[in-house]
Amino acid sequence: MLKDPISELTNATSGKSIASDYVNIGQFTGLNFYENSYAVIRQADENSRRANAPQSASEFLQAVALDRRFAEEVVARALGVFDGQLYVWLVIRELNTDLTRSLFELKSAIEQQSHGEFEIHVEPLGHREIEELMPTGFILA
Amino acid sequence: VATASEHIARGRRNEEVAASLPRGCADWRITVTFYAAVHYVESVIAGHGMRSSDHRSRQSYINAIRELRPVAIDYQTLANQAWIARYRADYDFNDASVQGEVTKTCALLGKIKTGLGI
Repeated sequence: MLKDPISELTNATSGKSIASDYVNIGQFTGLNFYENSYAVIRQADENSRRANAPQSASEFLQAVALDRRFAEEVVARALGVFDGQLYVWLVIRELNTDLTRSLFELKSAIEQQSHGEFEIHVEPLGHREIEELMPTGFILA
Repeated sequence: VATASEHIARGRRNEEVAASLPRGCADWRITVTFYAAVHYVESVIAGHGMRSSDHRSRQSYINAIRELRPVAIDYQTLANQAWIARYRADYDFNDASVQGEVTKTCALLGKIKTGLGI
């Protein structure tokens, strides 16, 4: 049976939600009041957006699969957590700035819609095998 | 902490360097162009009395600061292409078949500058 990559990743993040980290006020000491307040608000907002990241990434992958512009060019997709951030790793057939930009545009639209933040990375296949371009620990989606 | 005008000056210098690179340095052209964009974005962040500690924190500021949001997509695209230029040692950015893409990638800087009013 195929495993759901999103569920796999949720489990991979040590069984807890990415957003379950509390805002650590202590880490902001030494900043001035404005910077401190801004940093605390930003951290709380980031935690919330990370909680919705798996759902947003899932919606992004569905949208990529359904969009004709991407269907022929995106040859592989993978999911993984790097440096605490959920990443969607995409391999496209050739270096393509417009297509890459469109993928970032789609990501942004989905993030705004579902209030979840994730990262994407787009790489050309070139003369490599897909497996060679996948970061360690990422799961093909 | 660098001021907004110091960041703009550094961004302009990076642009000049990118323009002066000889043929066969397309990967560096993209990389230096990206670092020009980094300084232009930092100039806005500095205008708010803050600075980024790394690429991640810069991205957070881009999401959070209203003036930076219009350039977010172009900046992320340029950052993505610059990552490939820096780390994909097997990818030949000097190949004739990708020169159009190199030009398109570097042209994103113009859109970023326009978006930031620079």
